[in-house]
Amino acid sequence: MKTWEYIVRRLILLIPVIIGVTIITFTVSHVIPADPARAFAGGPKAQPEAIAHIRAELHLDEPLWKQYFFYLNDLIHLNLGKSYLENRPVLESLRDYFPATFELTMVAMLIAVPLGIIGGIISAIKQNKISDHFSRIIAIVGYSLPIFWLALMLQYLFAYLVPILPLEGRLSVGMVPPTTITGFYVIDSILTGNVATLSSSLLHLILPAFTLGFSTLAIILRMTRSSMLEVMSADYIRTARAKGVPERKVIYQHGLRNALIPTLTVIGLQFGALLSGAVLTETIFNWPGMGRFAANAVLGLDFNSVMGFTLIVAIIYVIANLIVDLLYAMVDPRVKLGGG
Amino acid sequence: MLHLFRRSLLSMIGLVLILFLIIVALFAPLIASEHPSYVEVQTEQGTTRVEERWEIHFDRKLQSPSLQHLFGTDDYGRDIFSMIVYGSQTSLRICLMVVIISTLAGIILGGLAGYFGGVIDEVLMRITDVFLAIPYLILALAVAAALGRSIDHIMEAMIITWWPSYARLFRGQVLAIREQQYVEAARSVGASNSRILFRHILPNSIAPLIVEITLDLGAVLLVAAGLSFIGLGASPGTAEWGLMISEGRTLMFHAWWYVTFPGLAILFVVLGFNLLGDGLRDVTDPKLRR
Amino acid sequence: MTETPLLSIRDLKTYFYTYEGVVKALEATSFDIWKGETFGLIGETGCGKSVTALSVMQLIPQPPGRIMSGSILFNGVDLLKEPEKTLQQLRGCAISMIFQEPMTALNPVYNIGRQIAEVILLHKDLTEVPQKNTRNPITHRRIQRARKKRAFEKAIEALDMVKISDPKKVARQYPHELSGGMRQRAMIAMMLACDPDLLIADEPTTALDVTVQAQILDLMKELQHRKGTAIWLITHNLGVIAEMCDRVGVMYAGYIVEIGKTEKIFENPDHPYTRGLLRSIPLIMEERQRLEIIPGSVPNLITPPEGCRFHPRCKYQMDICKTCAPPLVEVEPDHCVACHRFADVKYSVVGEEEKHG
Repeated sequence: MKTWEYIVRRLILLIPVIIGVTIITFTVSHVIPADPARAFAGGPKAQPEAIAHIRAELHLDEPLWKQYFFYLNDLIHLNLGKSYLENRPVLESLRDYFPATFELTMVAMLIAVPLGIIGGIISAIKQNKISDHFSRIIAIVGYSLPIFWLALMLQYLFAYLVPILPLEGRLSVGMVPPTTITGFYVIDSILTGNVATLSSSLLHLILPAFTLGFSTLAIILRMTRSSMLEVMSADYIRTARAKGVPERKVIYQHGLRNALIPTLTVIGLQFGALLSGAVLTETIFNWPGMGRFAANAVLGLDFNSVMGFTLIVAIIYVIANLIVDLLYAMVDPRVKLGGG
Repeated sequence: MLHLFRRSLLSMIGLVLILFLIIVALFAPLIASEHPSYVEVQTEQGTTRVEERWEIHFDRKLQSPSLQHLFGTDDYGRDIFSMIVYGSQTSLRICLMVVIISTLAGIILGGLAGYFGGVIDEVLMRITDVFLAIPYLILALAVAAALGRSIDHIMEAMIITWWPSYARLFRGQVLAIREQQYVEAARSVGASNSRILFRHILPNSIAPLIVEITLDLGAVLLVAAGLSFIGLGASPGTAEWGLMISEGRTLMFHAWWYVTFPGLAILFVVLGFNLLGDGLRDVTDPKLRR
Repeated sequence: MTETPLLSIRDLKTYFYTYEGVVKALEATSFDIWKGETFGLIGETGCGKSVTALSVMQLIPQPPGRIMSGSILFNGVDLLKEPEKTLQQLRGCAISMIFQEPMTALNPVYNIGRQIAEVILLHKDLTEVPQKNTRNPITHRRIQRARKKRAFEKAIEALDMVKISDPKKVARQYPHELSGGMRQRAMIAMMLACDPDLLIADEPTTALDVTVQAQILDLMKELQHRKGTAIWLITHNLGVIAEMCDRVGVMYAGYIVEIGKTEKIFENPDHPYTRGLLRSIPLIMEERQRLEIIPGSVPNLITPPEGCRFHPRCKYQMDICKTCAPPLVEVEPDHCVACHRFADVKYSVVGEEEKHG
C-alpha cells in the first residue's frame, strides 16, 4: 500500500473518532450542567437576559438530538461558538494561542527525546553502574512528580532564590514581540534578525519547557533503557558481534534501531501528556497558550472554549499518533502500513 | 514470589511508602496535632478549639517550620503538617474510589466484549477509541468543569476518563486467555459462560490488572491533584494537597514551606505506587526482570 | 594434515557467576581442530558445547560469564591474550560462527544484502579508486559509496554461492520475509563471505525441517570442499555427526570425555557415556529389543559431582571415580578417552553382565 493511500485511509477512519469526541463534548456541555444556558452565560451571576439569549442561540428548548445536530452543523462550519471570556469566536482565540503552545511543546520534546534516548542507552550499556542508578532514579522520580509542583519549585529556585531565569511569560516585560510570521517567537526572531527577542524568548522557554518535558524525558529514558537491555541480549546482536562489528556499531546500528521501535510508540502517547501538562505549565508560567486559555475558561465557566479546546486537543493527539505510526513503518520493516 | 520481591530494594521502598500512607490516613487524628478545620487557640482560660476555619490567627500566621509546627503554618495560621496528614485521607479516598470503580466497569464491559465478541465488542471498542483520543487530564478537566467544583465531581470525572483503558486491558486479557487450552477444556465439559468468565478467565488475568491498577493509583493522584490545583476540586480551605499547593502559590516567595511540603507528600505517595507497581510487574512478568 | 593444528584449545575453563551460584560450565576442556577437517562436538543439552564455541569467539556474555584460565591457540596465536580490536578483525573473517536460531539470528530491521555487505565491508579491502572526474572530485564520501555498492554486489554473489535463486531479490528482502531454510542459507552466505579458515556451526540445522536439514548440510560440505574451510559442527544429532565429521569429540558436563576419528568412536566407543549415547538412538538396520537410556540427567553445574562428573550415572563406577577426575588418555592412535575404567568398558564385561541380568 502506498504511504499516501494509507494516510488518506487513516484520516477517513478519524472521522468516526472525531464525531465520537463531539458527542462527548456535546454531552459534557449540553447535558451534564444543571442549566447549560446559565453555565454558558457565566454561572450564578449571569443576567437573566443573557441566559434567555443563550437559550435561544443554543436551541436549548429543542429536543436533544436536534440540539446535537445544530452543534454539529456549527462545527462543520468551523464555528466552535463564542468565547464569553474573551468575547470573540473560540476558534479565533485558539488560533492565536496555538503557536505559543506548539512552540512550548516542541521545545519540551526537543529536550525530552534526545536526553531520554541517550540516557536510556547509557543506562542500559552501563547496567548497574552508578550512571545507571542515577538515570533510573531520574526516571522514577520524573514520572512521579506533580508537574505543577515541579514548576513552582523551579520558579522558586531559579527565578527567586538564584534569579538567573525569568519567572514567567514569553518575553521580558515591555519587549515588543517579533513580527508574526510563524507565531513562534524563536523562529520569528531569527527570521527578523531580532537578537534581543531571540535571547529573551529562549530564556523564557527554559523553565516551562523543562517542566513540561521532564516526565516525558523520564518515560522515554525508562522505555529506551528496558528495550535496549532486551535488544542487546538478542541473537542478532550476537550475530553482529560474531561478524566482527565493532562494539560501538553493534550498539548504535544494530541495537538502537531495534530498541527505538517501542520508544517511538511511547513518544506518540506522550503528546497527550504534553498537551495535558501544558494546561498546568502554562497557567503557572503565565504562558499565553491554549492551555492557560483552557484553564481560565474552566474557572470562568466559559464552556464553548473548554469544549473547543478539548476537540482541538483530541484532533492534534490523534494526528500525532498517525505521524508516529508512519515513522514506525519507516523504522521497522516488519510493520506493513494498513496491514494486519 | 515474596523472595523475588524482597530482592528488589526499590519495590520494598514503594511498599513501605504505601503502608506509611495507609497508616497516616487511618490514624490521622492521632498523628496530627490539630484538626485542619479547627484551630486551637491559647486563651486565658486555657486551650480552646475555634471551629471557624476562616478565622485568621495573626499570632501564628505563616510561621516557618519549627518543632511546634513541623511544616510551618499557612496564612490562616493552620498547621500545615496536620493538613497534610488529614489530606492523606482525601488522597487515598480519591485514588481508591476512582481506580476501583473504573476497574469494575472495565472488567464488566471489557469482559463482555472480549468473551462474546461480535457487535458488542465492536461497539465497545469504538467507544473506547473515542475516549482514549482525549488525554486523561483534559477529558477529566472538561467533565469536572461541567459538573462543578467539588471533590466528588473530580472523582466522577476521573472514573468517566479512566474506565476505557481498563476495558481494553481486560478485553485483551480475555481474548488471550479464551484461546488457552484449559478454557477449551472447561467449555468442552459444559461449564457455563459466567463460570468460565469468573472461575477461569478472571483469576488468570488478575496479575497484569493488579500491576496496572497499582501504577494507575499514582497517575490518578497526579491528575486529581492537578485538577484541584487548577481550582476544580475541593472547596477553598479544605485539607487537600493539590489545593494547598494552589493556595500557597501566591505566597510562595514569602512562605516556601506552604507549597513545598504538600508537593513532597504527593511525590512520595506517587513514587510509592510506581515503585510498588514496577516491583509487582517484575514479579508477575519475569520477561521484564532486569 | 599439517604439523600445527588450526585451533588448539587447552584447559579452557569458563564459569558463570549467577545469583544462584557459580556455574562451572567448562572445566579443563582441551582439543584440536585441524585445517580443512570437519570436527563434530556432541553431547546433551547443557553440557557446554555452545559455551566452548562462544569462548573461542569470546562472545560469552560478560558478566555473568568469565573465562578463568586456559589457552585458545588459533594459527599459533593465543586468542585469550589478544586485545578486543584484534578479535574483531578475526571474527567474521578468519573465524565465523553460525547459530541455531535462523529466526532470530538476523537483524529484523536491515535487509539481507546489507547484513552480508556489512561483514564484507568490515574485512575486505574493496578500495577501487573511482574514475577521476573534474566535475565530481574524489571525496571520502564517494569512495565510501563506491565501497558500499561493491560490497552489496559481493553480498549478492555470496547469496548466489549458497544456491539462493534470485539472489538480487533476496538481497533486498528482510529476514521476516524469508523461510527458515532461506535464512540459514543467508546466514551461511554471510559467515562464509570472507572465506574464513574456521566455521563454527552451532546446531545449524536443529531448528529446520528434516528435508531442509539435509540440503543445508550438503551445502556446507560442498562449500567446505571448494574453500577448504575447517568446520566445527556442534550438534546433539548423532546422524549428522556420522554423515559429516572426520573426527568427533564427546562432551559431558564441561569435559571432553572421548575424542577421536568418527568411525573409531562409532564402532568402538570406550567411554560409558558415549556408549550410552550411541545406544540411545534407534537404528533402522539393527533390530534391538529396546533402546537403552542413560539413567539420570546432566548434573547441576553449580555443585557438580566430585571426581568424574559422569559417575553418578555410570554403571561402571568405582571408588576412584568419586574422588579423582580421570585424565584424557590415548587408548589407540587418534582416539582418547577420559575414564578410569575404559579397559573394562572396552571389553564390556560389566555391561554384558547387566544386559543379560
